[in-house]
Amino acid sequence: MTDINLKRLTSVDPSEIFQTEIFENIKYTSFYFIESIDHEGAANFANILEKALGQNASNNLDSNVKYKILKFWVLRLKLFGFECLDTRERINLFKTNIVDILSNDLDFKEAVFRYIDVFETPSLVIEITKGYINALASSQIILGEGVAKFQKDDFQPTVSNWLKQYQYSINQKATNLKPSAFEVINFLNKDTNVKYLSHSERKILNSLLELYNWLISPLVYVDSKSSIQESQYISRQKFEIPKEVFQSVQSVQTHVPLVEPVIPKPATAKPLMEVRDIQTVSAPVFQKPKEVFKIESPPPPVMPAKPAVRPVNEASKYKMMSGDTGLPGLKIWNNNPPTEYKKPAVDIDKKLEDLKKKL
Amino acid sequence: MNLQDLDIKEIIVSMPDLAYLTMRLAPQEVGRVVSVLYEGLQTGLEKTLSQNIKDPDLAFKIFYEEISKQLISIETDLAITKLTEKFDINLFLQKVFV
Repeated sequence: MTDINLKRLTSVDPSEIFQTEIFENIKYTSFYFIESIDHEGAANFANILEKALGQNASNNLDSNVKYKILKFWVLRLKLFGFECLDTRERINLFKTNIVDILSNDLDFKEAVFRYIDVFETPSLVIEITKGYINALASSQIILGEGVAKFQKDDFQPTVSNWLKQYQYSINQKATNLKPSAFEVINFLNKDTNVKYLSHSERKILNSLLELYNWLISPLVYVDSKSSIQESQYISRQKFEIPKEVFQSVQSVQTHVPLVEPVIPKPATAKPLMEVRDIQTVSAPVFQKPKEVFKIESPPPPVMPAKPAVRPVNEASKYKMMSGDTGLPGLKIWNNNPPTEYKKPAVDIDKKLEDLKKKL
Repeated sequence: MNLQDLDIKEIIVSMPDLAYLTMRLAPQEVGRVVSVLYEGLQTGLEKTLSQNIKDPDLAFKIFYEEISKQLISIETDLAITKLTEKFDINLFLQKVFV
């Protein structure tokens, strides 16, 4: 559909472009690009349409209205595909089409914002917007039909001159604050040349000054974001646990009794495994935590119903270690446990003598 | 009341300032505006009839609310917003019901 239209559009005679069928078809295709979010296609179609339109030389009222509407579509498509235009085309929109864009109620700011939003460096964004401000400041497009009235005051109502006047009114206040809606209203109410403007021209001037204000400081959002990031509070809190998380952890700690491991002090240490018999060892008592929250925790280790029976050879080792004194010796050992384990020294000389005797 | 035969586009175009704005829109957009207006009008009519409202001011309020709700849903960009801003609901209702 669009390819056919593009081919037809490039070969169509400018006088035929206003025929109802072609005119409606152009609008249909233009909106198709917007609806399908085809920014590049929109920018290309806008350029082709602009060339096809050329300069309207017709005196026909109907053709004039249709020409105006198609110009509106050229601008609408260009703004939609703003990021796909080249730098010259973008600057040109500011320099030569600014009044048309604002009078057609098109959202220039949104298009520019979408474009500059991709740049991460604020300095780069400011550099770009400075270029747009310069383009506006040098625009010689007339904003004000009653030129004769302005001539009395020796004022030419170009975009450039309106901005100079506005800038002058801001500078008079000599504040470091960035201009806002207040400055715009103040200028529109107090400037002597504004009174010659019609209602619609005044609205356009209002939109122009708002756009100008925004271009001066387009990073309002980014500024506030970075100021938060760079604030001392954030940097100080950076590596701390968030307050909410900390509180929730505390509440869990107060509700769920933690089973702390019993670490006996060396001086009053008791053996972790109480020896009741030479061949039996009691198992450590497993304390199950109270189920306050239904949190699925790994199952507790399966404990044997009966304590494990120590093998005989193990028991004999134990006997040896306790001084080979038998049960009474173990009782002594249990009543006076050693504070530290000392490996019994092996009397090698005695063993050698025994071996010699045997031999 | 049957609203199916109502040519809403014709009513919109007959309103002052709206003819140009409607002509400016793409056919798809006009279709969208017409359908949401139709929806708003239909819902408004059903509400006024079911609640047996005879006060014209209250009836207007209901229609205004319903049509506004529908119009808000299609505010895709300024081109349509401009049209909805200038859309005169009172005049619209007068044309339909008087």
